[in-house]
Amino acid sequence: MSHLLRSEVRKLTSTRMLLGLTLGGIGLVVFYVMVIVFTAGDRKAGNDALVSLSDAASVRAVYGVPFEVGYLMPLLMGVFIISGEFRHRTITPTFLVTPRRWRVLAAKALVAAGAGVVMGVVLTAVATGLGAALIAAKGYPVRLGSDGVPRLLVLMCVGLGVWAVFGLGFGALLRNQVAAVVVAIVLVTVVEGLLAVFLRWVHLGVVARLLPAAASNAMVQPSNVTPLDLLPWWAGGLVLLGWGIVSAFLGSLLTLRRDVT
Amino acid sequence: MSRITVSHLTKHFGAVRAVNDLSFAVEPGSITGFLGPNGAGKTTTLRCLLGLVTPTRGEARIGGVRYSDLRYPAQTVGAALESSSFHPGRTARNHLLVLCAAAGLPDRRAEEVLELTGMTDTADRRVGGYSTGMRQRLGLAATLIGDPAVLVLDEPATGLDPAGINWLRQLLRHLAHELGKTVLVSSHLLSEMEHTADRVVIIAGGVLVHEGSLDDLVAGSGAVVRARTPEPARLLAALADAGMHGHRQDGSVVVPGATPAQVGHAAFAHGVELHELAAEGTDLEDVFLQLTGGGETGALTEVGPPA
Repeated sequence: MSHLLRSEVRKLTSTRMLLGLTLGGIGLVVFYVMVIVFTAGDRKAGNDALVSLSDAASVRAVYGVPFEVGYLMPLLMGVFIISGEFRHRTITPTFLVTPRRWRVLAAKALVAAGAGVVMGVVLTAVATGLGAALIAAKGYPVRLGSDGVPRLLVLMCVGLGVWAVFGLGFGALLRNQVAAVVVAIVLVTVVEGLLAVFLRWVHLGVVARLLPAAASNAMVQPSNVTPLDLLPWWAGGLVLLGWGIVSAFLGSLLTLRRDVT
Repeated sequence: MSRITVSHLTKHFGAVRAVNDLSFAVEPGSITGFLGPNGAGKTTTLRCLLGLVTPTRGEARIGGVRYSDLRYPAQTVGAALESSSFHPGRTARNHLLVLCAAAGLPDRRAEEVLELTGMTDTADRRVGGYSTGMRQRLGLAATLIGDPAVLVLDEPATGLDPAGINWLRQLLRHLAHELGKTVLVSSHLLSEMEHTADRVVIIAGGVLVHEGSLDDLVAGSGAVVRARTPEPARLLAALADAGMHGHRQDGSVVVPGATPAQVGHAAFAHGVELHELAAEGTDLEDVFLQLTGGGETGALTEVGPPA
């Protein structure tokens, strides 16, 4: 297995995909952190803006940007790790060298998780560094050691690793790269939102809390004020992990059986 | 040890019968050409042999073992199936290093096969900028990385210039005849294999049409010598004297299983006047076309079945 892990790490680091997605993620995180900080109002000054940097929740929202928008990058990376092999037909030499396909997929899942965590560390560092600097510059407390912020920062790094595994499952299920990317993004950003509204409408909000993006959001919330439609942070983490494992497992099952032509 | 055996192999893709009850064997120490027109089922057969496609019925084994059960696949069989199965953004060296790692081989094997295939100078360029010929060389380098006893190459000559084809021929001969490896090479062009293959396996429409040497192919193909003479009775007698058997047809004498030189000599020895002497149907390409039905034989394309 260590041979295969080394091979997968070499695959990931010998193209520009990981670098491109990380840079894209940094751009996205910088943009959103600045948007939140510069559009935030000040309730004490009588501004009725939704966000106020004097609130702990708003500060958490700034630091939580990697989780709120940045998760798309590890998700895409997970999709690319497997669908890229089908697109460029490198899956043929891959399965020729390792005919026991489940081992290939297991190695890919481990490497995707690891690379997702690395990406998480980078994006979290950018969001925290830039966010804290801007918040301090505006004269508000940065709250880096309080209000559940340390736990949030750690959870984000781990959570982005889980999103990468989730993406890997998508890529294995839908071998067409474009289809996998579009379906993954549309499902997580649009369909899940609509489904959640529908579920709450039919009084199944309990189920809506178990959807992947909702579970992911739950991890950003502070433990003492869990909103009604979100799980506690730890349960959100476990549910997201469950989604990652289920999608990777289903994708692997299909990949193990299908003919490679 | 490294004999390839295909037995009763059958593969259906939906309603398409890509390969039908195909059996043949490939021996070590020789080059076996695997011939057939586009869509004959060659690629599907090779993919079944390599465990990438699950046969509907039958099986294929390498040294008595199914590919998926090989303990060290890269060290046992080297296979190149497509003209390009490389990530365009990855360099040739990195492509080989990825395979080295997966197969548990030392990294120096990448350098060795780059040198063997004459790619050392271009190894650090991204494959996206490679010509078809360079991709073929890289594909070949990848097959040799584990120094396997069996080589399976699908259309390796496609995209090579005449010098490249000559180089490939020399390399395959060296690998088969001097190193004793089992070499199975597919092609849809007989002319590519004519001077390379020791034996041929020809399929068309997913079934075997010929297995053996190219000489057998000509001998068994109904090739004849046609002679025109004003004295057909004397020529038939002369032929009978020389142990050949001819018959009259359309005002000339037709002799199966003979060469023009043999017929000409018999006529000369008996002083029989000849007006024309010609070999018919001995063109290998004609025989091949006749055997394989002259072209596309199925709905299947060479790339593989519809997804």
